[in-house]
Amino acid sequence: MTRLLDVENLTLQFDTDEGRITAVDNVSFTLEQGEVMGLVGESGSGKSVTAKSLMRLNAGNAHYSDKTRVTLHLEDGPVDVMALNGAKEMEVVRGGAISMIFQEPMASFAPAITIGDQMVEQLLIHTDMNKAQAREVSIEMLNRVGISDAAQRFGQYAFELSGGMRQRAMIAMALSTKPKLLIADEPTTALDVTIQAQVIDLMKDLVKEFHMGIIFITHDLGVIAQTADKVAVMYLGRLVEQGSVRDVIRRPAHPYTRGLINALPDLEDLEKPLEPIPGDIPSPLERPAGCVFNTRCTEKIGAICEQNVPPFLDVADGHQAACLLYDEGVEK
Amino acid sequence: MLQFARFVTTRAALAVTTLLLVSFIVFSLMELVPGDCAERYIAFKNTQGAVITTADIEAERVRLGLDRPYVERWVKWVWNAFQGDFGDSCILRLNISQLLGDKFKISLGLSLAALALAYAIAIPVGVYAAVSKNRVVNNILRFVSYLGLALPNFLLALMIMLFSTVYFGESLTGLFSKEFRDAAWSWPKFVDFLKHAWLPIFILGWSATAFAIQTVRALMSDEIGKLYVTAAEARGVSGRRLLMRYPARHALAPIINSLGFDLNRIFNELPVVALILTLTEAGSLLIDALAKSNDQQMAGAIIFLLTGSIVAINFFTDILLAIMDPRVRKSILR
Amino acid sequence: MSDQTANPTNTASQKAKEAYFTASQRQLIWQRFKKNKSALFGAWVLVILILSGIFSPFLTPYDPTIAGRDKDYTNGAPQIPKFCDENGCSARPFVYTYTRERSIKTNFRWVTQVKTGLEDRRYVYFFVKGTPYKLFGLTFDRHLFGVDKGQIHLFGTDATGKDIFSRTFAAIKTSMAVGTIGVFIAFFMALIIGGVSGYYGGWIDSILQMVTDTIRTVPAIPLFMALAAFIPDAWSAEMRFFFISIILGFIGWPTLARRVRTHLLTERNQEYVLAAQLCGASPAHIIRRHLLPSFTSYIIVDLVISFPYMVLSETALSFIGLGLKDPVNSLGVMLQNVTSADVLLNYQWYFIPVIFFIVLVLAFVFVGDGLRDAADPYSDSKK
Repeated sequence: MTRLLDVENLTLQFDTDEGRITAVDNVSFTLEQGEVMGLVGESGSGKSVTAKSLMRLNAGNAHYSDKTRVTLHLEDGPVDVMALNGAKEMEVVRGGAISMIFQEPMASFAPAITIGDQMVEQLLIHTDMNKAQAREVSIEMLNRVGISDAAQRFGQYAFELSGGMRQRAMIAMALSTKPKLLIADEPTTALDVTIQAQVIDLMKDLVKEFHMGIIFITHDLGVIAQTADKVAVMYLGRLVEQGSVRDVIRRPAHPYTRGLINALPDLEDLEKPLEPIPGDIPSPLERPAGCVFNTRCTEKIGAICEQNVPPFLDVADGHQAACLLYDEGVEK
Repeated sequence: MLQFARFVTTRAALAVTTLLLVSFIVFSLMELVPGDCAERYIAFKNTQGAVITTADIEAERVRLGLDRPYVERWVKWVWNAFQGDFGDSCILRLNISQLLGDKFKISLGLSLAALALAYAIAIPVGVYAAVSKNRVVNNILRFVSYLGLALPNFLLALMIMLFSTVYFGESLTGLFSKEFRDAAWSWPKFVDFLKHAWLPIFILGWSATAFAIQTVRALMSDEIGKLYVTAAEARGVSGRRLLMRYPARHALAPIINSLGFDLNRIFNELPVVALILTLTEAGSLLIDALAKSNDQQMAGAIIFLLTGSIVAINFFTDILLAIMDPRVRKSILR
Repeated sequence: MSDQTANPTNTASQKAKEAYFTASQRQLIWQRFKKNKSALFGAWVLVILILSGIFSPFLTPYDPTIAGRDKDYTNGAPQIPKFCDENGCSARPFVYTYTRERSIKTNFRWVTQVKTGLEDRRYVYFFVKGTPYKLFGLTFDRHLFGVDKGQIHLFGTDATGKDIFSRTFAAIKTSMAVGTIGVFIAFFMALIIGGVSGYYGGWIDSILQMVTDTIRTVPAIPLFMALAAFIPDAWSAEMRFFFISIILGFIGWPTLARRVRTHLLTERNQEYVLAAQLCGASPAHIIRRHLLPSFTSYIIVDLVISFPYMVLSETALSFIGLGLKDPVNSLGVMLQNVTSADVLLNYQWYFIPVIFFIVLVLAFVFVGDGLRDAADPYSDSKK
């Protein structure tokens, strides 16, 4: 598989009234073409912000550190996203090489502009089709995602479509420019379970057909287990575990991941009480020193966890966790 | 198409009903006021030296039809009002429509011009303010809008008069120069009018502009924060196109909705501004008649005309909104 | 709960968090309000102005009505107290004596002469005895300052000799009083009509809404010009005062009523109301503990923001001559004669009260805005 995306040392801070908040802290990962990566974590873990950083879609008060490097490997050559200046240059990436779909399909479409107009607009920006061609391609895309009466739907507004159809339309719009990378920000969270399954199936088909990479952001481990090839777990802006879906879910290495999986209800034993992760997620203004999870960790070694930021350590082949438990040099 | 016609008709019916209600309220208020038209007229004659008896007053009452039942008089008044006939003024015994005609048109013209000016300034400024992260710009604009709220039009007019008199030795009053005052309308008269009218339009528009800037800015800020704008940006839409097509287009609706109310506010400030700028001396305004006449018929007619303008604007903006907003449009055409 | 180590900073921050979570609504709003510097500044200015209005009879040396006028110094320029002049300095500030004379030399026009001799100094004393006045039902006769001979006019005088300084502060008091009454009337009407409309919904709501909207459509000031022209001159100043206040209240209620109604309609269907009902809470309890607090802050903000409009409407009406009249004193009354060319050219100090009123209105606007930002827990995200 060819490498699609390289993210190195992504660090992002926001300027707010309360000071500089670190939202993403030294996150690094890679993605191959045709690979589906799940980005998992609680609300506030920084997953959306990380994904938006790939397109520099964050608000104006966001500051990327100097060491941050995001490299997109396109047919014409690698693109250093951090070096792009201004909206015109970003056009290559935004909606072109990378497309993003959002959690609220209703809120993602402009209320007073037809779906068709918005789709055509995107095609006109990124390709040199004319209006008529763009229209044809869009209708075909709508068809492809399973919307019946595509031609009629093309001229309708977002409020005229049902929830599932809106989500499909959004996928259609995102894919119409044949992007190399699709970022899906909690695309199934707002849908009910049956529709959820349909949308996931659709996405899997499209991945195969378009040979795209997908970054699937969610807090739902079940969806990840079904869809992703590999998983990255985030907590408070840091990546704590990475590996193939099988490895991470079957043999979670980091205490946080273990906590997440243990917190899932056990279908075999319905009487068993739930095991939440103790404590509350700290506010981003009060990030713990050392290992970012140490304040809630049940397997904490000791003071060493408060003093050192654990590096990524190998647990198994292709499976890493940022935890001192796997540092052979540390006394337990 | 048929449904749309039906929608328009319903709205029109609503407008007419509102006007009827207003006329009812106004008419009742006029009735509550001590002394009716007959008494006033006679009292007026009295000051002229004529000797009046009670019998005369009674006779006058009958002549004016003031002894008919309330409802009947109201219906008759409203019926005529809709046709533009407001009867004769109590005291001057001149036909009101003739008295008011020109003045009303000028007042309305000035007010609408002020409103147009207000938004012509407010929309670009408000949009810019919403987008700009520049602290200095934001603070200046906040200050200007506060000033606009605190310094109402007539205070502003006063200050302008103060400065112009002290520094320029003349006051910028009047709507027409002497030659054109009573002349018939012609192109030179219109030009002369424009030369004088810019000040009242500016002053009238002042508060409206300050208010409008705040409103536009707040609306744009709200819309810009919404997900569909981020989604559009994620698709590669950028720059002015992003701004205009997405948040601006959607922020327009509440603005259009508020136009009637804006005109209401301008009408509220019109009287005092007119007084200060002594627009009443020449090519006089509506309000002169209102304040000085003590005349129920006139007062009623003026209030009716003013409210009628506002109701008319509301009607048009409703229709405009229905055309612009696809949700409304679709629900009508279903 | 959590296995936090017994760290002193931990318990301190834990306490702070608990304080935040258990603070009452009022405390929270006050905290946020305090952070807003311009609002805080506005609040201080407002308090100072209101206090000076309430205590105006004490703060100002003379009676603001025609009874207190200085016949010797009509249309007089402001007198600024000095400490030093060519005759030497004194620890006590003073102003000059002035006389008016009329003779053939001056074409029989009154001409004011200022005498700057040492014996013509009028020294300023503090806590002087002056014309008696009533405050809170008790009679006093001490004023903050005054002069030993004649009168002192810090802001000058008007055409009949009334001291503008005294009148300015009296005017602040009157305008505030009128505004307060107007606001309360508007508030009560809005609460009742908006409340009924919002709570019952349905056709009651539709009818009331129609009426409210109709009344809103009529431009208020022209309407009241029409009405005010009919107030009999026979009414006493106090009656006029109350009448104007009531009129102002009637102007303000439709907008407020609409807010109350909209808020009630949306809140009534919120899930927390349903939850309370399911817990067995009575309607009275729900209204008191759930609905009312949710919009009290908005209503208060609305009241504060509508206050300056009341004041300005009254000013406009009085200015035209259709509002308050002497001896009741307000900015509008003071501005009545200001548009004559004579005044504009020669007696610019007539405009000094305008500055006070602009400051007053600005203070209200700042405070109102600050309150609104403080009361809305979601306003941070809108910045």
